[in-house]
Amino acid sequence: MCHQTVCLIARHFEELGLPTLILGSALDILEAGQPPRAKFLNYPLGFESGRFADKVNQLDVVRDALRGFETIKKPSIVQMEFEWPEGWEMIKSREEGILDLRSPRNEIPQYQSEDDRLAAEEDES
Amino acid sequence: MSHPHSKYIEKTKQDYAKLGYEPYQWFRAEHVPAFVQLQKPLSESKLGLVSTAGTYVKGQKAFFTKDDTSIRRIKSSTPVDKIRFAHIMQNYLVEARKDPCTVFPLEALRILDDEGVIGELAPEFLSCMGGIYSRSRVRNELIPRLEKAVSDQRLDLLLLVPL
Repeated sequence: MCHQTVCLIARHFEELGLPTLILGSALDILEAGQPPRAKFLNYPLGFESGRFADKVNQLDVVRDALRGFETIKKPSIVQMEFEWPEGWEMIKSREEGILDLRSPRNEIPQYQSEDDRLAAEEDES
Repeated sequence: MSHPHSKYIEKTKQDYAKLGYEPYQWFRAEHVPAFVQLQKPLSESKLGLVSTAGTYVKGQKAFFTKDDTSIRRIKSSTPVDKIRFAHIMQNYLVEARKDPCTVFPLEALRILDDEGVIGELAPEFLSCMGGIYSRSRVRNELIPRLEKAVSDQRLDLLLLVPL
């Protein structure tokens, strides 16, 4: 769903005259949404800007993605050359059964921790 | 050997069928997008970031899961250990909650700024909870909020990173 949302946002800002680039990992959703510029990173969702705790890979991915601003000359989605080295199946196991493992939809802020909730309420008061 | 790319649209369709739901109507662009040529190189440009991973900073109000169309402004100088996430697809955030830079490239962008690859970073990055099922709410509520925040910063380029 996020990939659809960024396609809508990117198309809008490009119409306003601001060049955009998406760094994403759901190729089929990007192809449907036709953003102006996208770099497709064939990693599982949740690693769109690089592998876990791998600062070298994260920097390489973002550096390569940003090149797309200058190298993409017409609307296109360019596949990046990075490979997910191992554990794809392990990561994908979270998608087995139902992919749309969404949380219940409600209007309650979903704090990452109780400590965060207290910090936010303190800032509000 | 390359791993075949996952087919999320087809998988969602199958999942919805199992649950007895009609297929979700994904956005399928009917027109080629606008395309703006760069006015100056990246090394002279001011770059902004939009994250749709439900990114927030400790002390800010977290996102909710039912079509939350609010946005958060996150200083590009924010310490990484203050970055948090609240998103309807929480199962994709297990690692990001330990290393936020897997979906929110704060450190990489700061390094590339220091190296001079990027001219300048926007003082504030922007985030939202991109799991918004209603496209009209994206267009009528979320995008105007982002537009206001982007226009405040006079950006030359905008990077978008979904979850």
